Amino acid sequence: MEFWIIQSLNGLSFGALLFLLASGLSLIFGVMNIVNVAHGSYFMIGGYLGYSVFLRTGSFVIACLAAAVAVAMIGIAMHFFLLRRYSTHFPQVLMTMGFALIFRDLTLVIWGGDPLSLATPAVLQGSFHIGPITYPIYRSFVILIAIAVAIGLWAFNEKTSLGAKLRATVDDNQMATGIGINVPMVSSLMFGLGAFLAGFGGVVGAPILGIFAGIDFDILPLAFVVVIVGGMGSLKGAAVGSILVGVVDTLGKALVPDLSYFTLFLPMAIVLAIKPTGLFGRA
Amino acid sequence: MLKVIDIHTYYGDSHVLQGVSLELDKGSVIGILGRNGMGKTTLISSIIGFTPPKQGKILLGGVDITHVAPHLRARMNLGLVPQGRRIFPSLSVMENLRVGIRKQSSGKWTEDRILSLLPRLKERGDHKGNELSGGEQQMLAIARALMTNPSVLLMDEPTEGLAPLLVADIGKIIGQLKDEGLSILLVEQNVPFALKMTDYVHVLSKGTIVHSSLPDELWDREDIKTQYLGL
Repeated sequence: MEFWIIQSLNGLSFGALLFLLASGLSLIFGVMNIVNVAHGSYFMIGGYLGYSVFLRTGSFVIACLAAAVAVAMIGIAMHFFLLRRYSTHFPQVLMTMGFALIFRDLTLVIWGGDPLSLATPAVLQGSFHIGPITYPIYRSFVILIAIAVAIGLWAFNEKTSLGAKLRATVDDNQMATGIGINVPMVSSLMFGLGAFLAGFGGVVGAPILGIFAGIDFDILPLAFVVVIVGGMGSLKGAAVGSILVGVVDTLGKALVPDLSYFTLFLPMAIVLAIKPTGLFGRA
Repeated sequence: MLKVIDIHTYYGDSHVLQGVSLELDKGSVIGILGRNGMGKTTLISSIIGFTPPKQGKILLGGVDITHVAPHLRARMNLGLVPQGRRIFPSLSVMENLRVGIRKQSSGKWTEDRILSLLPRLKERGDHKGNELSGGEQQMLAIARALMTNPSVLLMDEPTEGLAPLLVADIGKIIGQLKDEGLSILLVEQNVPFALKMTDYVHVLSKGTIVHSSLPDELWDREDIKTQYLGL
């Protein structure tokens, strides 16, 4: 019983990290229809930058924000100068794949090949105990962070004027320009928001997953599975998909480690067979 | 207000507009008539900038806007009521109104004035754009364009698919806008409606203007009506 509870909680906290990555990817891939192979790289770069900022400032909060803003800038530059000029998938994949390889090599040059680790912030160290269950405080904190981000994203999308411009751009970008919305700028900001969330997730995830060259492509397929299972462009879908993939992947690796990819992709195949648009996707 | 000088517009290889010129004076309503596929909507798209012309010039209030980005044209007082309304479905009625560029301080089309002109929209304020009837969507498309405080309004088939009573309502609104001094370029399939609303009409066929006259004169030209308008 304890095994199941602990593993489920681990799945939830991993799902929370996935949500930070996948909510951004859902915007970029599901809504803007850009295949960004470098999205996992944003997560990786976020981790490395957060590590360096933490070494200099000693503040986990500053590390999170600084790394997320820096990654957002990288994303905005990639979109504004290059990606927005290509509307088909093939050039997008080639270009972002190239960026992913460059980012990987750059991190090796700057931070070296040894895995790094970011210490859990002091106030979040330790575990709490409920009956026979002992569980790390930091992992619970990550779940709370993801819930806060989900609420924040929902409020931004539904309640702010920039959110309304974003939805108008997604509904009909040509008509949006026709009433004076600066669509190229709104699109680049949207891409930047996705990158911001991935970079932020990279720092928040670092104390759990570690920081190493290779985590970019370890985590990227999971994020794509979340977006496809949850439904393209749906925030609710990204949330439910992240929990599902997080729990299934964690339990699969704990129970039958040899079949971990099978346990991940089998539920995806089943969902797609029943509902080809994903759980919450628009038809 | 608006001057179109010998524009040529292409969709890929197809040469859709083949040298169209027209002029729209302040406070006047000019009609563009013609069958489907003759280039009426392309003319609107060229003026708003969705499909910029390859040759020719478009002047708005004396300023050359031929190569200006579409979102900046909307800020230069050019308003669009597009074919098919193109209401943003995931935005509420009020969000549809408020999402575009607004110059409320300088212009006379404040949100309150627009809503008093189109009171039905106020009642539907919280509904999503795709929950409205066709007539309400058309009202919303007009209101959305007015929110940008245009001096020139491009209207592409505003009566399309509407019941006669609603067509009369749209006619009343266009009359009011004209009285306010707006210049309107009105593309229509509904010939009797267009002839009633306009000060001058052009007939478009295969990308060129084949007839221009006062509305009454066109009404008497059976040859033109048969050959180019299918009446």
